[in-house]
Amino acid sequence: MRTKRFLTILLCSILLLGCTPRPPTWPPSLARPAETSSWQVDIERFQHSAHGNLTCTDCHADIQPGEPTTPHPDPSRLTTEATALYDYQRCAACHPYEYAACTQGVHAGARANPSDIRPDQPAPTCGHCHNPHYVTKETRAELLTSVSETCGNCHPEAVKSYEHNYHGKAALLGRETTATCTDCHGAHTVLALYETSESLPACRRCHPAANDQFASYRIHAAATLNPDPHDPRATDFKLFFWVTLFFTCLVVGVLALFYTHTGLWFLRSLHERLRRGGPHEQQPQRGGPHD
Amino acid sequence: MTDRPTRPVEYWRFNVYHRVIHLLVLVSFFGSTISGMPLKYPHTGWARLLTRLQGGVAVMGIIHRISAIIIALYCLLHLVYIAHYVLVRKKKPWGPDTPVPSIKDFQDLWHNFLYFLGQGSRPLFDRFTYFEKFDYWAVFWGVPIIGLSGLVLWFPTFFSKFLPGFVINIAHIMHSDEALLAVGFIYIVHLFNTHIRFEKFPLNKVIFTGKETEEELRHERPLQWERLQAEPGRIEEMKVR
Repeated sequence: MRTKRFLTILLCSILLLGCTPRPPTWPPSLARPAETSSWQVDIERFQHSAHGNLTCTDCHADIQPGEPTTPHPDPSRLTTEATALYDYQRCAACHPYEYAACTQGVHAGARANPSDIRPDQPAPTCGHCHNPHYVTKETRAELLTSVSETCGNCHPEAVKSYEHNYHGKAALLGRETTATCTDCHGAHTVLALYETSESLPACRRCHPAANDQFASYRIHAAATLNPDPHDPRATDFKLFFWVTLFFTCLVVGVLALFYTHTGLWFLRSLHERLRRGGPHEQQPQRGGPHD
Repeated sequence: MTDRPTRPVEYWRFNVYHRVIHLLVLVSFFGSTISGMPLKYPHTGWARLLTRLQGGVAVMGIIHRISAIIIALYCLLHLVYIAHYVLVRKKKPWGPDTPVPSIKDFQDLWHNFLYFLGQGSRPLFDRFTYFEKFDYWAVFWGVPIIGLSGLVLWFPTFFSKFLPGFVINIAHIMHSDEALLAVGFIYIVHLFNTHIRFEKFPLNKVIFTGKETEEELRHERPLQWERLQAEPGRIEEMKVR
């Protein structure tokens, strides 16, 4: 009787879990429509974007005379990546404040100081973060996922640690008041915030009572024994490794012991039940071997 | 009264205080886990669903903090109870009537494992079995770890006045891992040991009514029953009237 009821409840719970509808926004779509070539422009989408009223030469000032018609006078240009070629300084004509802010940040600094540039990754300009052909106005909720996607293209480890932090977790669950990359690092004045003196004003935008110690909290934390030795956070990361290891051992140890205990107990009582057909386990015997 | 059908003889196992505390633990544990676990696994569909059902991350934060206040309350009530038990009622703070572990508990654990594997008979338990004592101590060690780390996460700007920033990171690791342990333990081990197993399914009512039948007492806790036989006054006192 009880077994039957138990099986019914179990079956119903499995069905209930299996039929639970997934929220429509889940998983957030990472994939934008695939662009086969960075030179390919979907004119339909372009005309519906914020820049839809501009003509090609408004931005592509370096287009050579006669180039908009085919054949192109210099086909070798077409083998270069489009974002690296177009003149991003033209953006300043319509977006002077954003352009000026960008020149203050680490992205512009990396461009000005080629020794910092990784050969496989050119320092970004406007077009690396913004897609000028398809730019649309985004709601805060859309921004929360799209910003970390954009930054994650070049900083995957930063996005990974962000999503392990409360700010990133809350963003993944749709909390609009949480901070995304640009809220701390700045949208155009991109700052690395390595120094506490730099990060404190960023913290204070949401936590007005923050002090220096608060600002030394590691949002992009890692638990590793081999951190980059030049990273000022290296000693913290080693400490996090040991703390994580201790708690992982505790969790695994306790659960392994008691799951074995519970599992064996279940098998034993099932065995007793099937053998005796009664609800009770073997009656304890006084004078047994363990007294 | 005399023509009433004979009711099984029952004994008090838990007083009102114990039952109220258990209810507080139950409600606050359920509240803190449904509002906290989605944040541990925000990539999953069930986390999204639980968040939506509760009305968003901001509401979950409120549920989590209310649960935390209930936990702090029962923690305080329990400490007062222990003080009262020892200082006013002059009871011994260890022994078989308390959850303080003894050597026999470790022997019982070993013998129970042997019994599960078909070697020997079930160990004879006293008032609290070793797995019941472990339930108690799991909460007793879990509450300070989760509670203190939770306070740091609740008031990070206050605590960073006298603690370095990396303490907030450590509080996060402790809070999150200890919570996973609590969820993995309570919802599986505790639920099976006390409620789901065949003899108790689907719910062991003793913690809610406080009463245990004589048959149950003699079968589950033979050593306590034997102990009580030597104290006739005590057993009369425990009998449910």
